[in-house]
Parts: sequence; C-alpha cells; structure tokens
Amino acid sequence: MAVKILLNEDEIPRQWYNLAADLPSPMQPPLGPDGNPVGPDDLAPVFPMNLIEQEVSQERWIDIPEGILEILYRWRPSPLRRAVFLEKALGTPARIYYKDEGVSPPGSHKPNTAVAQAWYNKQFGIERITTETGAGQWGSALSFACAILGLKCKVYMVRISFDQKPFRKLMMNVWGGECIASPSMNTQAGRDILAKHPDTPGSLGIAISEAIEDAVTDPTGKTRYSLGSVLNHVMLHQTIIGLEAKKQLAKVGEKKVDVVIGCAGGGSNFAGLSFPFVCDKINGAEIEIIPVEPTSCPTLTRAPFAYDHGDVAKMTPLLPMHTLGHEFVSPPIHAGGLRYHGMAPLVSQAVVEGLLVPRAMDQLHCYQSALFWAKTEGYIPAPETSHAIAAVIEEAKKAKEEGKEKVILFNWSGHGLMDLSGYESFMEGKLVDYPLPEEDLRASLRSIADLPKAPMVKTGKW
Amino acid sequence: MVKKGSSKYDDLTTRCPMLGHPVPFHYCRDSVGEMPCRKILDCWHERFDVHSYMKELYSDEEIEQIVAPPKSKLMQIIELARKARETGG
Repeated sequence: MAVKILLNEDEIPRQWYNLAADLPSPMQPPLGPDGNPVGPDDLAPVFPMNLIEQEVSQERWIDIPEGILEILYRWRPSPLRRAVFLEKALGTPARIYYKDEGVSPPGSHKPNTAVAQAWYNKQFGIERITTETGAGQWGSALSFACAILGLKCKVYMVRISFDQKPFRKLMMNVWGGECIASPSMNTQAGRDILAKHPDTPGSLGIAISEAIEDAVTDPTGKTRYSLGSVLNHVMLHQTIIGLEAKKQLAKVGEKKVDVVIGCAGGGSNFAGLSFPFVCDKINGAEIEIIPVEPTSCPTLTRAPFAYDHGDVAKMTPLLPMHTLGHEFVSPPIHAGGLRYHGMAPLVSQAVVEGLLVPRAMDQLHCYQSALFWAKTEGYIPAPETSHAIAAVIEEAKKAKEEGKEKVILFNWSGHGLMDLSGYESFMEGKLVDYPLPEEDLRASLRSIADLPKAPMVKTGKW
Repeated sequence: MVKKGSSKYDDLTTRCPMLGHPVPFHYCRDSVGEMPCRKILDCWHERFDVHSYMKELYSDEEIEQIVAPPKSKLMQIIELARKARETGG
C-alpha cells in the first residue's frame, strides 16, 4: 500500500487555477469610502502591475512561468501522504490523504507564493522587496525566495519577536535577508513611534506601516511590498497544492474525492488545496468541501453575508464578507491563524453559493484530535492544522457508521513543534472552550443592522 | 489614549496569537504606543478580570475602539500607502 505518493518534476502543474473565473455568481468588488470600487491604481505604488493584474484577473488558468517552476522544483511536487495508521486506528473504511506542505526549505506552504511574488517583482524591474513579520515564518519564506532570485529583502520584525525569536531572524540572515527590529529609525512611522515611546516592543501594525512606507517612498521606484496571505493572487499561487493532489490521487487510482477539508484562516492554505476541487464541483462533481473554523469565532458558520466596516468609526472602505459585525470580540483560542473577523471574499462568495460547507470545531476537540493523530501518524500538527484533523476524524467515523469507502483529502499546513506550549496548556487542563453564545452573536449583529447589505447573488444550484 | 502604569498582572505571560510566541501582559497593555492591543480582552479574560481592569482605565467608547476588529488587509495596505506618500516618509 502506497503511503507516499510522489510526482516527478515533469508532472508538476503548469498553470494556476483562478476560481474567480468560475464562480457562478460574480464577486462583489471592494468599495472605497466614497462607495466606488477600489481599482488597480490604488495598489500600483505597493505591488508590481503584473501581480495587480493577477489580483483582479478573471482568467481561469494562468500559466506558471518556467522560471518559477525551476525554483519550485526544489521541493515540489510535494508528497501526498496516505494516513493509513490513522485509518487503522479508527477502523474506518475511508481512505485519508493529506498534502504535505512542510517539505519546503522554510518548512511551510508560504514559499509557494513567496517565490512567485519575488519572481514577478523581478520581472517588473523591482530590485528590493519589503515585508513585515511576527515570529518570522513569512519573513523567512520571502527571504528564501529573494535569495534564490537575487533580490534584496528587508523584513520589519516586531521588536519583541526580534528579541525573543532569534532563530527565524537568523534564517532570514542566512538567506541574505535584512531583518531589523520594528519600530526602527528607517521610516517616519518608526521614528514617530520611537520619539513618543523609545522603549516600545513594537507591534504588527507598526511593522506593516514601516514595510509599506519603505516601499512606496523609495525614490528609485525599485522597491515594492509583499504580503503572504489573504489577497487573491496569494491564493492563486497556492492552488498548485490542490492541482498536484489531483494528479497524485489519479496516480493511485482514486477516481473520485468525496471530502476536501482545510483550516480556514487567512484563506491561502484552504484555498490552495480546495479551489481546484471547487472547480470540479461547479462542473458537476459531488464533493463535500469543508472549511473548518473555531467555534469561538464562527465567521462562516453562523454569520450573515453583509458589507461590513472594518472599524467602529466606520471610516474605512466596505468589503463584502461574512462578518460578525465590527463590534465582535473574538474569544481567546490558540489557533492564532484562524482568528480573523472576516473571511476572504472569494471564500465567502463560494459559501454563499453553497459550494463550501463550513464547519466549526472547539479547541479541546481539536487538541484531542491532534494528540490522536500524533500517536498514530507520528507527526505533531500545528494548532491550525488540528482543526482540519478534527474534521477529518469526524468524517472518517461517519464513513465507518455509513459503511462507505469515502476518499478524504486535507491539507497538512505545518507541524506544531513551535507551538508546544499550547499542547502543554491542553495537557495540563488549562484550556477551556469558548463557543460564542447566541446572545453575544445577536448583540454583535445589531451593530451592522443598518449597514447596506451585500446582495446575496447566487444561482441556487448548490 | 495611552494610560500607562504598572499593573500587578504585568508579568503574567500568554501566547500572542498574532506574533506566535509568549508575551507578558504589559506588552498587550501598551505595545502599540497609542492604545492597548485589540485582542487584550480575548487573550486575558481567562486569566483575570481584564474587563474590570480595562473599565477602570477606559470609557466604554474607548474600549469599543480598542477592541474593534482589523480592517481588511487590502484596505489597510491602501490606506498606509496613501499616508506614507502624503507624509513623504
């Protein structure tokens, strides 16, 4: 029985898939404060035009340039693994597969877009890229990509992280990235903060301000900013995950996938695996596609679809998304990557259409599932990944009850070796669950009652 | 809006979900320079009565402003770029 399904380099997908082209109902555009759609010119100082074109593209398939593939070959195609030991432990007739994105040099799926973004920047004539980072995962991925492409990379790392997490900084340095503590004296934003608070440990908000200012004020015009999540072009670059998985499943004779699962945070992890299967579903395939989110922040499972302001002052642009309202306060949970107020617009629209069936999991159940996984498959998952694993186990048990040989696929978004303190808290009984009470939800939703509602455009097919 | 001042909770630590590593309470209390972290209630309410702590320092309106969810990333980027170009860096 094959437990590692591999592809050769010449079998790698040569196009990314753009779900925006196939959504049966059109995406609602992001609106500015004046009510008009945000356009490419708004983004031109920040991103190279070739990436902006991808951000707004309606083309179904976008060629992956050979130059990008030549870099990705270092670790791609990534392995598809079959969780045979979990299957046996559960006694399920289901066949469970997972895409291992932990095999890249920086150890996550993030280089899939870091390499692409760096390459397109270079093609546009950009010589230097800036970004921000917390613990350093994205900063190290971009530093790696820039090193391979001969670009300069400057990473503004939140000072408290810079001081506490030296190893990611060293990874960036090894790849030639310049990693400096934020706030810094390099930018006006940093200088302003330091003048008022010279001992500040910094924040992600300050680091983003510095990275963007650094890019847009470069008098040579040869610097741009890069972001590793949320945006459409980021998700596009990640679809290579799902496209590879389809080839690998075919290689072992799987003609049909029944369930596709991913944890839903910023969007790129879930979208990367699932969007190619959403395409199949649009074209008639029967697939259950499940974004998994925490019960404590049920953005997709319980909230309405509405235009929502990003702030209480209501001065920011309106963006159509699933929302809990701008007064929503998320309860604490360890899966940091899943704590978002709104979901990516592409994912939201797919939910509205019924193409995705979101599910919420409580963190205790997720940690229990993660421990079960670690004791069967061996790997220790990141807290975010444990949400997907909890749903996988549920589906595998359901298949056992129904006596069905279902094929279940999910995305292994990373190991949890940097998150062992969360496991410690769980094993010591220090964690509790935070399901959002109905009354809290209703109170939150009252805050958006008077806002313009995004039209619920859907075909009603799913 | 900053209302600094030591607190008996300052040395307690918890994992920051955004940074991905442990931070002391005083980081959440005044890290941003202008206001506490928007997740301060999320991350600390299981450890002590952070709501009462905040109410002693801030009005309800200020707390609502502090804990407001973030703007969408795209909008944040556009606004920051506009601001940086206006100030000239």
